[in-house]
Amino acid sequence: MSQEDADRSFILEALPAFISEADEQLESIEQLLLELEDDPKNLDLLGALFRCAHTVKGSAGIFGLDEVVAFTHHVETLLDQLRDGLVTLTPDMSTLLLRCKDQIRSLIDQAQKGQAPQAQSLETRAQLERQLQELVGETPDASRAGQPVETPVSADASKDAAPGGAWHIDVRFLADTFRNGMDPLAILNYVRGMGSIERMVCQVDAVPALDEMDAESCYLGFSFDLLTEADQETIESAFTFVRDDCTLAITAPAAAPEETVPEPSSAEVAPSPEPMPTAPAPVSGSGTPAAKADAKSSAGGEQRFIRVQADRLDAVINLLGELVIAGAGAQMLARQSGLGSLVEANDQINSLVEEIRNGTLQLRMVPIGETFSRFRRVVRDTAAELGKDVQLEIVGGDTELDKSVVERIADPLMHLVRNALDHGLETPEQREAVGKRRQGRLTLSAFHESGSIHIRIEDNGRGISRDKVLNRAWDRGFIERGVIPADADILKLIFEPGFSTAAQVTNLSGRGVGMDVVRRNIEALRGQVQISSIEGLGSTIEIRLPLTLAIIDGFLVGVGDSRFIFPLDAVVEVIENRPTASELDAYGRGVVELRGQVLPLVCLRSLYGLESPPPSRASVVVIRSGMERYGVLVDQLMGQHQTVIKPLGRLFQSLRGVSGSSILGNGEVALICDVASLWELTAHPPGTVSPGAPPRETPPEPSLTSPSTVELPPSLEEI
Amino acid sequence: MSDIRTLPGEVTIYTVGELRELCQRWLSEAPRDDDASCGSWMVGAQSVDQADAAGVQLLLALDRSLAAVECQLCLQNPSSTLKTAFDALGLSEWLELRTVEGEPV
Repeated sequence: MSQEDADRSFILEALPAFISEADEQLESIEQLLLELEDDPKNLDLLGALFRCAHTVKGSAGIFGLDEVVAFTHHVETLLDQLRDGLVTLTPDMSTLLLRCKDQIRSLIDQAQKGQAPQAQSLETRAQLERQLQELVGETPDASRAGQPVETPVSADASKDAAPGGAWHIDVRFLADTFRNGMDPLAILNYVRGMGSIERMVCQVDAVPALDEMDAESCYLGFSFDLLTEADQETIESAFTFVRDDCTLAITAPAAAPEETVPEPSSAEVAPSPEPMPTAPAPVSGSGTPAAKADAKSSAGGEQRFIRVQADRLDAVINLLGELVIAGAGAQMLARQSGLGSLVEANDQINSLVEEIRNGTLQLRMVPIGETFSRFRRVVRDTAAELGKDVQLEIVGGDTELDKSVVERIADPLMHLVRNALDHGLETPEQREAVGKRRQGRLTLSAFHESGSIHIRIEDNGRGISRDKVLNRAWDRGFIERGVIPADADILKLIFEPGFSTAAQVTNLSGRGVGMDVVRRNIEALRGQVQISSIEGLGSTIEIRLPLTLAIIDGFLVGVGDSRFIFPLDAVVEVIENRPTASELDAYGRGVVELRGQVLPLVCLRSLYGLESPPPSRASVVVIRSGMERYGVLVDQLMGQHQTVIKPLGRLFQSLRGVSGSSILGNGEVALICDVASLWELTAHPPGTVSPGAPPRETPPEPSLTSPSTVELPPSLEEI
Repeated sequence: MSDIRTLPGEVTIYTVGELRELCQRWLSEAPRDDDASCGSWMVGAQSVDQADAAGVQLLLALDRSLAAVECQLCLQNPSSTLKTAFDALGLSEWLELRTVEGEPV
């Protein structure tokens, strides 16, 4: 009993890890299928695909998720045939497999929630199974008859039938086995320790002659019976270290009798011309839950990665933030004390803290490519649904940013991609009619610049019609009829709340998300979104996001008693101790000459109405924001500062030009400037109205998850 | 040609590269006196005190090369280490068929 309780408790604890891993595997399956569409005979991709499915099945078996195992088995059978070249992947097959992947996910979701499958789901699954069986040449009935025995058999077999039975094991070691430090001899000796090996046959057919062989490559395979009381998992564990370097098939004792051992049982070296049978026999083989070589990346991956709960990492980063602040305080006190050795010791500690900070923040960085890859399926399915031919290009997928940012940017990105597909790109006929290539192009790209990540969604579709946008803006009263704002401001209108109406709902982009919500979600991440478009040629939406939401390198400045911090990456240079510019307007704006060029200047004192008297000499911090450069007039330059970002209180969240706050070593609060919005602020200071500003009485804005309201920019939806 | 071909003490992944070259060199040479004694191709295996699957595999390859020129590999007085390795890999019968016991020439 206690053992059962322990098992149950283990399963409860480990299930979330399985679900997380299965999600990753299913994601990989989708990506691989999409990649295979361009290269359907790529054996590496086909092998990886099989391994992913096999891993899901194997893991599901451990947790007793029999429905997942049974269904995935059908998928795996087809993938096995694809891998062996018996079947060629067609687009229809690819679509079927993508649907199967969705089905597996849904089965796992049901298992996680403990729900019983719905009738519709059962029908879908049965239909998919039938299609899979037809493709692999199985008769559905026969297979179905075998089905109840199949996977449960292997699961049961490992529990019940195993004691004393003879397992049949086929293992073919792959070329890199020796090079990876593994010795089949040692592994077989280990297996021998579990019981007794009988009818061992060494498959030497692949061993070439001396002059053709690479002595460090492995060409050996083995087939043998293992008499043991160990269960399947234990037997598989013997091959853990070679999972990536072998193909393994384990057949449970119950199924063993005649069919299991088709190999020549002659004790003489069996020069079997055939490769190792991957599915030894119709019944037992098909049910083999074995862990083939497929081990998948996880086997190797588990060696290299440790799964850590995100909240534990967050806790460490929070503590690190406190450590940085405390360190700054200690450093300040040390300097005040005037003790050289104390200052030196503190500097060393702070330098170590900085290294720890960088290392820890790096732990949270993930490549954006994983998020981008999700859109392959969206683009494929959406384009097919709309009768469009769209090629998705992903550039800079290895660009890294904070995991929390990645998670929160996925929904806005999804909306922008769908919008581009739905409204931006034309059908092949429409494209041809205007002299474009039939296939449209959608490019997702990411790159780092000035301490920010830039994400660009670019299409070569029809672009945005300024006239339509203007008409809509006039109709809805956003701007006075007849007033024509600057070109850049016209495009910004589409991000205004209430700009579009529910009348433009389509099945695709109508997900209750307006462009204003997209913008708001991006701004909530301290990011910015910009749009540019050339009518007839396409649109580009660029999102700029901070790399991290936790700690940054900042540049501390003082204006009177107030302290401000600029992200260090945005600081180009500083001009120290120049006479205070006298020609500033009422909003603190002016210009300064820098190496013969005119640099726009903003004075924080005037801009924020700080009351301290201006000093006779001041400094200018030159800031880069996108393509723009401008100077900020400050009293003191206080140097580099490790900045722990704290959110602004509700009261200050509407403060323009400021994105957060930070606590300094002496306990004072410094405001973190958002360089892009500060630049905006200099263009449109408080009290002035931006040309595209909507009236204040806008309706309540929908959230990203709002299910009913749909707002679409008319400019993007034109046909 | 009086010197007998002899496997080194270590027939493992660490030595198979050199051993392959050595065997190829042997193959390129003329038959030796002792080869005739068993009507085939003799290699002393008494000194092997370390063997692994890579080493065994190399001997399988050597056998294959010899078979291609209609020769039979004969391993003279294989050490217990070598026998154990062949046995563990299910190749004891293979080794037995190629073993020649007796005084080294």
